[in-house]
Amino acid sequence: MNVGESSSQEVDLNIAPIIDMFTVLITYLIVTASFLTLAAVDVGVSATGTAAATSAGRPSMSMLLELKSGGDVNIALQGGNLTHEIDIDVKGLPNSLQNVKALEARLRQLQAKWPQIKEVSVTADPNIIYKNIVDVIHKVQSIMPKVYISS
Amino acid sequence: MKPIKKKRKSTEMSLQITSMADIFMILLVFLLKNYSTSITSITPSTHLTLPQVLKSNAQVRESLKVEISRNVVVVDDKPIVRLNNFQFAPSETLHGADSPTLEQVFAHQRKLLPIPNLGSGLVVMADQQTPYSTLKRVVASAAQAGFVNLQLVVVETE
Repeated sequence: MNVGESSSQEVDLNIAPIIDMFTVLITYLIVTASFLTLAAVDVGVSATGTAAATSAGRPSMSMLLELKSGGDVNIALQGGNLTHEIDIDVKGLPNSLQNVKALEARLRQLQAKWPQIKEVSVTADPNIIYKNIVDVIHKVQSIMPKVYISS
Repeated sequence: MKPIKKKRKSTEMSLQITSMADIFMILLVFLLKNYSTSITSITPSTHLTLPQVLKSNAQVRESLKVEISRNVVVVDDKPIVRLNNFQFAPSETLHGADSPTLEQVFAHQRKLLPIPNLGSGLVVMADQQTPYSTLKRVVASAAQAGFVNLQLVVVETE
């Protein structure tokens, strides 16, 4: 028996198969991977109509944003302590796009004046494209987190 | 003149691939970590251009997916309604009167949910050129079936 004898034989691990496996796996992962950073904008769905009444019987204050074809945005406020509907127009840019900065400033003013407004419904003219709607919703959400899209 | 004899080296060449294996291992760990393992595939189709936003906090959650492109509305990876340049075609359904309508598909999907009254989420992936009229129609059909919490999928930019 050779028990106790030290062996001086070098053992070489063959890593070629593992490299082959890695190459295949990495190729597959790179091909199928998506490098886009996707995120989501959370919105609710609201039915277009009058505001719901509060427990006191008076309808709660609501805000409706309407995106017009020329780039203008109409802000309509109703309910709460208001005796009549308030309409505010935010003029669009010369290229018929919504002036998002002016809209943001206007919304901040309105929220400072009526802090009870927490929700906004957004509607648009039929030809307004989705990109512009998302731009407006995203901006509105930074001021009022609850945004609804009118169905 | 004597011919010059070239000495032949008999040494064996062996490629050192240990460092390569290390690089591959790091790359593999990185790719596996970033690899999406969700049931709902939220990778947009090649013909779909999603709108871009600067920064959004919400993450896409696992729920029913609806895709609106120039030619078709896809619900849960199945084409349902034909569009003609983003507009609803006169004969909307893909295979005539026998095919289910958008409303029927949403109602069916709602019934498939394990807890139909709780899962009201819908992931909307629409092309950035989609007009509001088309979006409204799809959203209204979904809302009718009870899908009222929408997640509009966007591409986040720096």
